[in-house]
Amino acid sequence: MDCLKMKYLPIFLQNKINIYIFLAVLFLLSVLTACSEGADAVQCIDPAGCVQIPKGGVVKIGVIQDLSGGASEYGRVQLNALNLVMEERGSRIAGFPVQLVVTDEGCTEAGGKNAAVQIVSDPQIAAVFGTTCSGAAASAAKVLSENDYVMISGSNSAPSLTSVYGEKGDEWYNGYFRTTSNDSYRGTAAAEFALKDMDKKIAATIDDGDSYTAGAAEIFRQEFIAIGGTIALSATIDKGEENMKPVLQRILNSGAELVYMPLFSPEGLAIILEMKELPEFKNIVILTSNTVVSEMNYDIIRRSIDKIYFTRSYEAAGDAFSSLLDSYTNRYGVPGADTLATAYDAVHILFDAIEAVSIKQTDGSLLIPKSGLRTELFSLKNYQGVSGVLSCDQFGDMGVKSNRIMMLSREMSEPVEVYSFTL
Amino acid sequence: MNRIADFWWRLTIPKKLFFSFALLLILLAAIVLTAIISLLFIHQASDRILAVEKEIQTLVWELDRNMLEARNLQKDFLLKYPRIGFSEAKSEYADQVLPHIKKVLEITGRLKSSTADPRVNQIIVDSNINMTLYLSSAERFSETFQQFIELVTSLSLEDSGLESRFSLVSDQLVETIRNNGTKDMQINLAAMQIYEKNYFLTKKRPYMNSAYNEAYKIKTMLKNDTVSLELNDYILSQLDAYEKLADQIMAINSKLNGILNDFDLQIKTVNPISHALVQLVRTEEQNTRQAIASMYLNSVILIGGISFLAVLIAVGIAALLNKSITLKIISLTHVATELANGNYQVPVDIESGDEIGTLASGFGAMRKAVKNKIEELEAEIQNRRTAEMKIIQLNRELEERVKERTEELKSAKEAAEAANEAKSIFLANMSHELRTPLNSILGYAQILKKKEDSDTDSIRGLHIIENSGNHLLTLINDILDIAKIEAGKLELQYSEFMLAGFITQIMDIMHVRAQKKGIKIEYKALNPLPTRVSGDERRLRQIILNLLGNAVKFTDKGTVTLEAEVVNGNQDAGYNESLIRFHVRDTGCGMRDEELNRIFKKFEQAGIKQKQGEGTGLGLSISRQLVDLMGGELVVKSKIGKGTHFWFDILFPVIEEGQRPHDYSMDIIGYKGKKQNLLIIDDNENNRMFLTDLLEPLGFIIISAPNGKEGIQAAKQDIPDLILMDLVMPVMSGYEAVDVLRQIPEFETIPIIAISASVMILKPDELSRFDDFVPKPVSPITILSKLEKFLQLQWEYKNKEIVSEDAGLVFPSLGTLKQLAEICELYNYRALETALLEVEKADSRFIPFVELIRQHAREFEMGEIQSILEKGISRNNI
Repeated sequence: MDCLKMKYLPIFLQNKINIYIFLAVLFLLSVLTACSEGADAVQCIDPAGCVQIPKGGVVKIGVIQDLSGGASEYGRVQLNALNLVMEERGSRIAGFPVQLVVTDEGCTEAGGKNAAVQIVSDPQIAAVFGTTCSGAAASAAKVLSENDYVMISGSNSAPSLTSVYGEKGDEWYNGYFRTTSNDSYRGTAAAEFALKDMDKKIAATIDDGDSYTAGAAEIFRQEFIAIGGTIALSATIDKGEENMKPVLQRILNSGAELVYMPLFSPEGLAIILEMKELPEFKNIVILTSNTVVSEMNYDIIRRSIDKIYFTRSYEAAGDAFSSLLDSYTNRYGVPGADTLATAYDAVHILFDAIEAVSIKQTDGSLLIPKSGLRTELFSLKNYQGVSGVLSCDQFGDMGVKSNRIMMLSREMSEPVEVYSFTL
Repeated sequence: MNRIADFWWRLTIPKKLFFSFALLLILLAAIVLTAIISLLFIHQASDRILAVEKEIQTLVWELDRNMLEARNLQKDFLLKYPRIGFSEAKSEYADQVLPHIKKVLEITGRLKSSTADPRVNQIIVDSNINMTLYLSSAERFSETFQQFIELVTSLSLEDSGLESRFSLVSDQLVETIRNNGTKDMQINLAAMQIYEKNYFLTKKRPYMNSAYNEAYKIKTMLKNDTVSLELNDYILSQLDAYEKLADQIMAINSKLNGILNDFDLQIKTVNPISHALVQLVRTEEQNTRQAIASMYLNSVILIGGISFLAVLIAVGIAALLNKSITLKIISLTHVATELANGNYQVPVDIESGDEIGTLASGFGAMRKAVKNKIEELEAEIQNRRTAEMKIIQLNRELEERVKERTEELKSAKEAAEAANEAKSIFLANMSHELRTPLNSILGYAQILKKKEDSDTDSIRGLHIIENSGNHLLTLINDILDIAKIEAGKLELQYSEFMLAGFITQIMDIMHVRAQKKGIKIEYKALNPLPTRVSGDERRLRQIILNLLGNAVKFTDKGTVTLEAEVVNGNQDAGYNESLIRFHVRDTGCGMRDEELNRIFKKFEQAGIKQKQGEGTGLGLSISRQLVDLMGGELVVKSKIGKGTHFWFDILFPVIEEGQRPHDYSMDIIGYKGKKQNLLIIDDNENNRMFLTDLLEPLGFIIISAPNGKEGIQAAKQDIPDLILMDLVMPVMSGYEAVDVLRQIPEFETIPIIAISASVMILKPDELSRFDDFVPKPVSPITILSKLEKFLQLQWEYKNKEIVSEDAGLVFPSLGTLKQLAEICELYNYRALETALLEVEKADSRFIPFVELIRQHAREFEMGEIQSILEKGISRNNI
């Protein structure tokens, strides 16, 4: 200590004992500081808790899409749209890398539930993007909502998931959001078109029991009957069913003038192909949905029947959508589906909401309040999306509240809008 | 550091040692504590981790087993309920599923709790095993299965289930149409039934849709009025019911199908988790064991490190102690050594605040003080050294003087011893040499007195010569005794004797003398005396006879009394001793006190002048010394005119009756066996004759020679069986002769017995070359006993005793009496004494006879002796 230049030290340190005490206090402080380094700077006060992402950690996003079922075509579009957004945002949310936890719902209720169970078992997952199919969404939304997760879909349209004519749907859960249009508008548009535009008084419906198909068929039936039509037959087919002749024969037997079949591609195409064998169907109007008549199915359909009508929830337009389609095609080599825009918008909305509510800690970690995120999504207003101007209602519906009837005939290269409905 | 150094410097040695060893102790305790804690930690951690692992492993296995069992039951239910019926299948399979699921949920909960251990949890997190997912899946399986059961129940429950109801409707329809329908209807119905069955078999809707189409055909036929309206309505309603139920059934089947898909998905989700858990548990157990091993190794390294550190610190402490204590002590020791070696210039450069420092300071002061003191001492020493030199010189002179005086004393002592030796030798030689001529003088004086032609003057002169000679002989004998006593060569000869007989003999002797003087002599036993005792009978007799002789001599009237009493007896332990006191009292003239002091001195006599001339003046001196030799003390009391009283105590071993020694009382008249040759070599012819006379009558063949040389020649000529050899002889002594003979093989084993009167000058080593020794005067019984011993003789005895009736004397044999008579005729007192000794030794009963003869011999009363002998011979001839 003699070597120390005592005169340069503060007065209180010019005593050797004080120096020892000072050093000891410094040591203790450093130890305490080191010990408290891992402690939370801000306590999570969210009643549903927070997802805490440590410094250097990743923001996990759960993905529940149909990768192997009847709507896998749309599921892949959803996933691709997500990846596009990821690329646009540098695969980061609030400065943290994003890690996707992808699950397959198989376009079944069970698949959705199973996927949701997998998601909720990882408390580090901040939010979920999904599902493809409404049937899967219903079971998944229940599990996720109960565990304070939020899920946003760019594909589901079943009214029961949110609301039916402004009333809470049977399968509504408060953690569920979607950017797609509610099928209530699809069924209403189809019924009005069938009865009013096509003047068909007797109709038959075919669904596959899925929330989406059954929901849309039910809305149609209700609306069609309500405006004076008759439902001659409500047939249900099983997913994956190939032998459609019996059900088509039933439709013929029922005397229906119009068949409304909001199905998915496999079953829808199977029916269309079977119709080719039944000349009686030349006189029957076939009304389906864009889940059957997608761009990639145009050729098959044109070869099978002369004319077909289908519902489409919106007409994404403008430069943004064109740019998105180009990007998609360039990125994946195939054209995008109708749900590309809604999926794209859903991902952006979700990421934006996370960034909006997340709290970056002084230690570099990130807190994402769960109920805060849900509230943030519910508060969406006039979001300028690719699919339109989106606002969230009290049931989680963000999509454009309009629907159209499109027609595709052998002569047409592209379907044309023959009817439009806006709430 | 300076403070610490200063603190250490000031510490005392005990405190330094205390701090050092306390530090060492703390280190040791730290090592032990670390080791124990580490081992405990390892032990606990291993136990805990292994326990957790084990628990998790068990739970995982249990979980997996229950899950598998639930699924198997569920599958069995699905497969079997259509065949065995819903209720039975439900109770047998479905109802068993839920307990398993319940168990799964319970185990999953426990598993989650077990895996709450941070370490285990982290492992599960790291291994991407989703326990929550597993738990959720299990819960979902439970829920799904319950839904499944509800659906199946609604579908398949007997009687009330959809299928039963459908079957009922279908059967009724079939019955109605079969009974009432047209043929086409029946055909359509049959087709409908086929589709229906196909549906129930495959659960594929197209079959049921086909059935619906057949039903539509029937409905169409009904519209054509083929049946009654009532029947038509009934069939239509039945068909509607049929379709409605079928729709419900298909809807439920679709849901069931979805649930089955759900089950498959769940299995796909859960199975990997289950397998991963099992695998993880296995892997983790191995990892845990490795971790424990690693932990153990780390602990060992840690303990080793701490131990090494402790050793380093211990070495440091040792070095510190060495520096602060040991080295200083060594320096101090060096200083002390130097000081001890006288180097007082050595510096004491030891600085320390402890005792060593104090000691070093003390050493410094002491060094200075010692140095000063030593200088003073050196000066003092120098002074003393000078004085010492003077003392040494004086000492040397003194030593020279002492040496001279010692030499002178030594010379004087040697001279005195030589003179004493010479005196003894002289006395011995003289007694020997004087006796021989004196025997001749006395003998011839008596012979001449008996000659008839002698005149009165001659006889008077011869009488004087005889008396003077006898006096001279007595004197010589006494001087010889005194000389022996003084030279320490008088040894007491112990033998057993009868005390009463002994006293009787003495009294017999003294009676004669007392009668002569006309006084009374008597004996009193003051208390009972032992019968037989062991002692030197001859010397005791000499003492008592001397005292009684003096008493008789100095008593003119009155009584001389001999008294004996046992003063003290000891009979303990079988060893019997008696202290016997002898009193000799007289009523003579008595002595004055100054005379009492002189009477025991040699050549001193007391009493009446006229009587002093009688005797040698050695008697009392000899008696006293003999009493001394026997362990007693001769005491005297006397009063002038009243008489004198002598007494002494002697301790005698008492001999029990029945222990009598060999009895020579019987006369030997010969021996058994062949004749034995004896060679007698003696320069004294008398001796040769005595021995010849003694031995020839017993049957021995006697050869004699006067010296050693002739003796050797005689021996060579006629080899004897035994040789009796005198020692001091002219020409060749006995010593030289025996040496020559021993070198001759024939004489190596022949017994040679030395005979000599030179008792006092014999040396043991000189006698060792002889087989035995017999002192002169030779006792016949001694000679005979030696012959008996060396020649293994068996004597022949003549058993005859002659007892003097008058005086109570026991006379020896006739031969002995004649021999004594012959000796008396020759006036050979020496021979007489020798013969008497032999008689005395032969049998104690002859002692009174011997003493009587000896008494007369002392008085040179040869006539008396011959008278006694004649009396004995005459008695013997009777």
